[in-house]
Amino acid sequence: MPQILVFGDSIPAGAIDPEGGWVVRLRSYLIKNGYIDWSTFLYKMAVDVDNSTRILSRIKSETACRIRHKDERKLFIFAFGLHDTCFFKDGRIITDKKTFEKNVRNIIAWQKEIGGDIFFVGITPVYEKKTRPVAYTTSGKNFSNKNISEYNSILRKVCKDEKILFVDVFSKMLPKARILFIDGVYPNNKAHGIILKSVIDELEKSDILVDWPKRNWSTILQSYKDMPKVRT
Amino acid sequence: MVIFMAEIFVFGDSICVGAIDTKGGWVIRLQRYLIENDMLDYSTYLYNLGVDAHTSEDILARFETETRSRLPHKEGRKVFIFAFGINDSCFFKAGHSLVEKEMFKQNIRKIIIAQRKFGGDVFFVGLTSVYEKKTNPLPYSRTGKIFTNKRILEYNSILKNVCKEEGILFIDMPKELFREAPSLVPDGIHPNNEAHKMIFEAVKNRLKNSMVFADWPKR
Repeated sequence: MPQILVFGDSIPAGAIDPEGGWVVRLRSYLIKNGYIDWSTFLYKMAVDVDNSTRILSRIKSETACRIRHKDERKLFIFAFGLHDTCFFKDGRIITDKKTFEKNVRNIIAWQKEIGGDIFFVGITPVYEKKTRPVAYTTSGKNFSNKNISEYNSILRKVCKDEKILFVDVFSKMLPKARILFIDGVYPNNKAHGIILKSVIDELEKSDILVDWPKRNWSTILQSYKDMPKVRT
Repeated sequence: MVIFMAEIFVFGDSICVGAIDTKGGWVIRLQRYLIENDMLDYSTYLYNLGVDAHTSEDILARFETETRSRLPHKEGRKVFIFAFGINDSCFFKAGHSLVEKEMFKQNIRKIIIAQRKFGGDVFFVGLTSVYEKKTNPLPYSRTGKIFTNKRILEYNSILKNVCKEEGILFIDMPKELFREAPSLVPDGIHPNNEAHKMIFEAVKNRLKNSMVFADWPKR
């Protein structure tokens, strides 16, 4: 069975979009537009607060037990980095830039061994008024757009080096951060829509979904009629 | 202020992932229902950890590591939902089973022991039916894989009994799912939209009378 594996943090996990987040909405869009069908398994392996180090530590085992045949068609989607950029009032940081770059390169090197397609989604900005520091933390957790922009550039650079599709969302969301990130960090329904549209635009230009394998279950085709409406 | 995060973990097979329901499967239907009825909100993370073709053996092997890497908030409220067994019940024309009954029973017990380390609530969902005309044997299987409802019900009883002994909520699937298998499980194994709706309804109705989602934390 073809598979789409998504690794990332709370944002690909769907927080806090009542429609389930851009990953779930992407799947609906791809099915509705005939790119994939319901025989494709989408494994949303996104975890709240995950950073590049933690993703690197779980990616191997979590992929190994989901891929049954190495020749199956597969697509890896990565959407992380925000929690790597986090820093604390006492100067502590989560991931320094050098480690971040190394982690990203290690993840890519590992994916190349497994095979399949791959793309990265860039880091989303924050609404700084609510993240300097994050209101509800006692540790003085901070997110700044300057820092995010720098980590996002590392992702962009590595993807360019490795000739991997990179869906940049940072600069197009930054001017509207106040309305897109109501609580400071989490994209709302509209913001998830912007990420979704950026991903779709880039995917449709790429050849990742060309000839994606489908199963013609007549019963499934029949039930396409009552598919929920997808907003992009 | 401390924010208590809440998490729902669902471990199971392809049916738990949602195949082949165009509305995403019974797990997503349940999440939507719970949110719409104000029993939880979107600050609760639902981790659907169903994997195609997985048996109790496969789930036991990954349960602890996959749970541990999703628990940034140890003090948070959590519920574990297990929905597996149909792949365990599979057997081959040569006679042997994919997972023998005794092994199945032991695996369930081991999973329950592992779950207790993490705390939180837990419930099991019973096995779904197959359309035997398409599964006895599976036409595309080279090894002669067979699924029968008789055997599925035997495995379902094992699961039900272990849950009873351990005092764990077990949600049995409606008889209709077995009676009407040809129309509800048209590809042989995977419940269609209507059948996923039935599974969701069965789970929802049982949960209504339980304390599982009572006073669930919201933002």
